[in-house]
Amino acid sequence: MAGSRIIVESNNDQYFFDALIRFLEKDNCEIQSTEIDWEVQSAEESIEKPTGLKRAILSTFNDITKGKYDKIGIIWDLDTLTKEERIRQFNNAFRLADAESSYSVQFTEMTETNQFVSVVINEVSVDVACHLVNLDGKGEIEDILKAIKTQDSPIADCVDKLLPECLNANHEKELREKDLVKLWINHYIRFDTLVKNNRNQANTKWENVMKKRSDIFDFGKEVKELSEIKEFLNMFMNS
Amino acid sequence: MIKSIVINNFRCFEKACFKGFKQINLIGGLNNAGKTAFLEAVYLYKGYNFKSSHLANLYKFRHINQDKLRPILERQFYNDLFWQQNNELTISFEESFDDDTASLRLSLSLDKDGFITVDSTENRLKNIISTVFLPTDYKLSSIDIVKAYDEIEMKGEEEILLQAFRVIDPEIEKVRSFASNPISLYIRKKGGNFLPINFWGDALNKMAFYILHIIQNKGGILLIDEIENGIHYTHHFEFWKSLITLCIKYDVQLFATSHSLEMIKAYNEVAKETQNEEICNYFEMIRHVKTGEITANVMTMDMLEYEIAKNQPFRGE
Repeated sequence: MAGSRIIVESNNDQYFFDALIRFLEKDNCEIQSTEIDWEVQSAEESIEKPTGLKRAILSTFNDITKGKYDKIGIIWDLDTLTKEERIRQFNNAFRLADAESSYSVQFTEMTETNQFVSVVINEVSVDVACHLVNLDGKGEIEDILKAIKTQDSPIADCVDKLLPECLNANHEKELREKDLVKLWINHYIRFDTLVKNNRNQANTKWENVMKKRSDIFDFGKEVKELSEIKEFLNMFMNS
Repeated sequence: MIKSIVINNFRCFEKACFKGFKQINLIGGLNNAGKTAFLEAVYLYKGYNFKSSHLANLYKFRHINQDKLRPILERQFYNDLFWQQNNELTISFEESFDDDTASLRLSLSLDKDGFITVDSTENRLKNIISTVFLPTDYKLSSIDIVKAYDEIEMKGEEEILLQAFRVIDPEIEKVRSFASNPISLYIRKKGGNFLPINFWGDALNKMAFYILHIIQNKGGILLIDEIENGIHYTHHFEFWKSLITLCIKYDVQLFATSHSLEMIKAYNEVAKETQNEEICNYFEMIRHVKTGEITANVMTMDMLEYEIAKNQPFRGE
């Protein structure tokens, strides 16, 4: 049986989604995930010429002709673009990959997120879908993690509350909301969930946190944006 | 320059279409993926000029002792040329062009007496070019190597060989042929004596064969099976640099196969560094998951670099 490839923006995102998939399998024994391979690409690309995403798609085409995948997903942060612009960027990446490849590619353009469209590469049919996080400025992965914490977080909360006030009082540079959430996560994983002796790199490296200490987050908690991601990932799993 | 080929009923190819050839083409793939058969197809299609020796050379490429086989009749050999040894089929090779120029075609079939009959379009005959195939254990005899060397020395191009040898061993000072016993190409290192090339390692011998063939085969096609054989990985980069430079200089189209990750990486690095990406492609030979037909994933140097960097499989796995 062929597996899936999901293209994400960063290694950190990949570790988060991997942890989520592991949780989904524990949560519902009837769900068996197909083998999911991750492909990491930077999201900072032009809408009309997304070169990195094109390369990732071309590489995936190679594997599709070998029968490795029958589903391709793209999970991307909306960032400063509109939903329509992001979808256009994905379609452009497929179009550019088609133009550069030696394959015969029949591609149905994506018009909506979370819906499969069919792509046929050298007579091999695959399903392609995309999911956008951070719609309406909410639901960035760090926001989700903050909302599903399982431990008390006095240090992270305190820094989060006092730092903007301090910066403001001293007329220092302002930190964006996004940066503050990242700092909250850093403080939470290092200071609130580890005793002093264990605050080393092995325990605070994001990959290790997601692989070995993911119970400091409750992936079963009802959070709208998290549920949407789960639904999307379920599209790539066999029931 | 050949840019595409359609192969029907030849060896392991029932029906295969390969396109995207450039001047320098490196082919990877699993064992028995059809890499050598592909080289043979190009060899036959571009070079076959109705001389029986051209067909008979296919024995040599497969390391079959022709003398021992002769009593079994050539028919058995011919059978092996056909897909699944079905000699009722017709083998064909076809080349088509983007600009709708009439396609070129060569076909082979067996008549009822077991003799091969060949049919070729007129325009293919006009486009036959010198095509040299170097199988995995290829060796030139001492006499042939001397002849080839003398030829390039007479053209004043012997320095090219010396420079290429220095890629393998910078201490090499002089190369020349001697008619004294044994007749051979001789190499001398700084402070040393002349020694016949046969006494030097595989890498120098391979380098000599490849380079002499490129120089002798101006405007032709060179087909090299398992190009990495005998060449230490530390020399791969400079080896490719010499080979690509010479192929450009002598207008030779190169098709080479390789299993070696280091060799493929070096090829990619040289193409990028020397800004020759536009004339280089990499082909991953695979079986189509649905049809079972042999096909190739064609990769630009940009894509090959990406696959290498991402640790993606690109050798048929």
